[in-house]
Amino acid sequence: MSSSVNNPQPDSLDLYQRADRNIRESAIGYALLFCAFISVLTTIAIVYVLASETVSFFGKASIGEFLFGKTLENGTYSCSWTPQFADKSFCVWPTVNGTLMVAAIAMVVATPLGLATAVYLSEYASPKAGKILRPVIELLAGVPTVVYGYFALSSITPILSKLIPGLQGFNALSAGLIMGVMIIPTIASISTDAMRAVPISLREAAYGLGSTKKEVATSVVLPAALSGICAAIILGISRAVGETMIVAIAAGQRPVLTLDPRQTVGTMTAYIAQVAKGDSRVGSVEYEALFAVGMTLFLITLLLNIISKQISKRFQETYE
Amino acid sequence: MSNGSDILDTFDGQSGESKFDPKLEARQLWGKVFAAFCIFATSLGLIVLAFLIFEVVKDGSSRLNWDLFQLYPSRRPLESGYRAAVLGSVAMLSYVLLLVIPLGVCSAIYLEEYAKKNWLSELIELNIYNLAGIPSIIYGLLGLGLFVRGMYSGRAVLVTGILTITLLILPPVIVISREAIRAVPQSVRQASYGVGATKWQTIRHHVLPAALPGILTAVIISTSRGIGETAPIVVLGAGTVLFDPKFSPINFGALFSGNIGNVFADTLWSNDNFFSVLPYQIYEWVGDPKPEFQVLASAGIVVLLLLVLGMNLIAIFLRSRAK
Repeated sequence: MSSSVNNPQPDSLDLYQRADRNIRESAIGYALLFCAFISVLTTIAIVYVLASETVSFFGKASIGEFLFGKTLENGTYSCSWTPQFADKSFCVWPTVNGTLMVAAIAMVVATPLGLATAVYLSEYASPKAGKILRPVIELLAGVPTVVYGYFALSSITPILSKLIPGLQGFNALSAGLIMGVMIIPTIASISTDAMRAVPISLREAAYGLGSTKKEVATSVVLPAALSGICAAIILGISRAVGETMIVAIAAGQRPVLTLDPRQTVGTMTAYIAQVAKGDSRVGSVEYEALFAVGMTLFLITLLLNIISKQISKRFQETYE
Repeated sequence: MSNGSDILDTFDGQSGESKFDPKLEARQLWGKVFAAFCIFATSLGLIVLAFLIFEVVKDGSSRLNWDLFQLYPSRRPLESGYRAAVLGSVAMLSYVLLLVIPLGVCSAIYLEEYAKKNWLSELIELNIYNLAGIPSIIYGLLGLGLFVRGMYSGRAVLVTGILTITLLILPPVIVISREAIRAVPQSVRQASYGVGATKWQTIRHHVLPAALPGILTAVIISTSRGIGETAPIVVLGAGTVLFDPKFSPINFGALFSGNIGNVFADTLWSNDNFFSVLPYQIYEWVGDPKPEFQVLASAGIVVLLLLVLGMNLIAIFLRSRAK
């Protein structure tokens, strides 16, 4: 820059500045790229950590038993998940069963309520009311899940046990119900966007034929927004499958193969939380089982997210 | 279109009366029932939230006093409090903000302003979308394998928690910040380029200030989620802590007395800086059979909800101001 003082012609001054600026500009570009690349490194690290421990887990336990259970010496078939006990079995399905049951209950609650909320926000509410209501409903997703877990255990289970005989202290039902409330904003928010993207002309055509507001909403807007709604539901399932604290606190930690929602179950996430809390030794089979379950969970949620993304991609192409 | 004639057939031109029955009353009734259900569904979640807040305040009110923030955890519930956990949460909140704001905003700027449409930017984009959908407990396993086992040979110290929560909330921060940057009108950029500004000058002086409220909203909402996360902290192996976490990144006493060798002793980085956070301590006490600990857990939940919902309200306020 000092040379520009000796040579005060405006042209060369500009040149020096531009050269300086270009170097700085491209340096900034690379610095920003590095930041964005951290997320790629995160994914690589997640896959590496999960895969390396999972591989050594399958060195000790057979992948056949993990997926299909085993036949005992006396000929009976057994599928149970007890890596932390002395008598170890490594069949993952009891934990998957718990996860799927709680997630199913949650979706039975969250799908109709979330969709009705979305219909209200996009079709019925005035723009002003919608602007206030939407962030307030999204607060439901902001409540820490440990709070929901405590609420399910200490408030919902006592109420339900008066209504339902045979309800255990830890049960899939109250965990699932509260998880459903937690997932309402996920479904409502994405579905609202999908419904608002439906062209107003479709609604006008339906009103012109004499439809009521409800008929416009259910027969025109809902079908037109269906792909967005499906994406929202699948994302909701993915949330439910990955949720940890509600199930760890309120649903219990006993992986069993059952379809009875009154029973104590153990989900994949609850198993990970339980064993990780118990300080298992590095290199022990229960420590590695943690990562094998984590890998299963990772693959399930990844698959759900990819399906959801593919569906919503198609929906974006329709109206833009 | 041939079906249209069916309706015409039902029309009796002679008497001027239509045999077509619009069933208006029934349809209007269904319309009202449906509208009522939609309003019910919208308010149900909020009713549950109100009931939840009522219950925890009722249960925890007897412990909501200054002692709650003064006492360390103990086996005796009446002598226990959240001091270490609250300080741990505050330390985590500050350092996570310090990391996530530059990293998140820079990534968002790169993807919105710099990235050309090629395989690399598509890879990063897809990758961030997928990361945002991974359950938090998987991040806990990442932190356990990478930071706790890798960097601190098995010790779950504050740094490992900060790094894990930062990685956890980075994807949502990037996704929402990008939306804020995208919402800045193209004309702002064109005007800036028109007077000879470089790309970075344009971003620094025009795009970022315009996108700031949206970015702040993203950061605050995501950080409030991160502060409320329990699962990854449980997986890292945090435990009950009976002392204050060390905040300072440098030991200033050692620095000023010239004892350069000990500059990092007794700081944030030391390997005995074990930590606890508010939601984790609540989880510990929720699981305790003694009823007094349930009261303590409720009181902690009130504090946690104040913190998290307060941050959310600030974010909502910022967003409404921006529009």
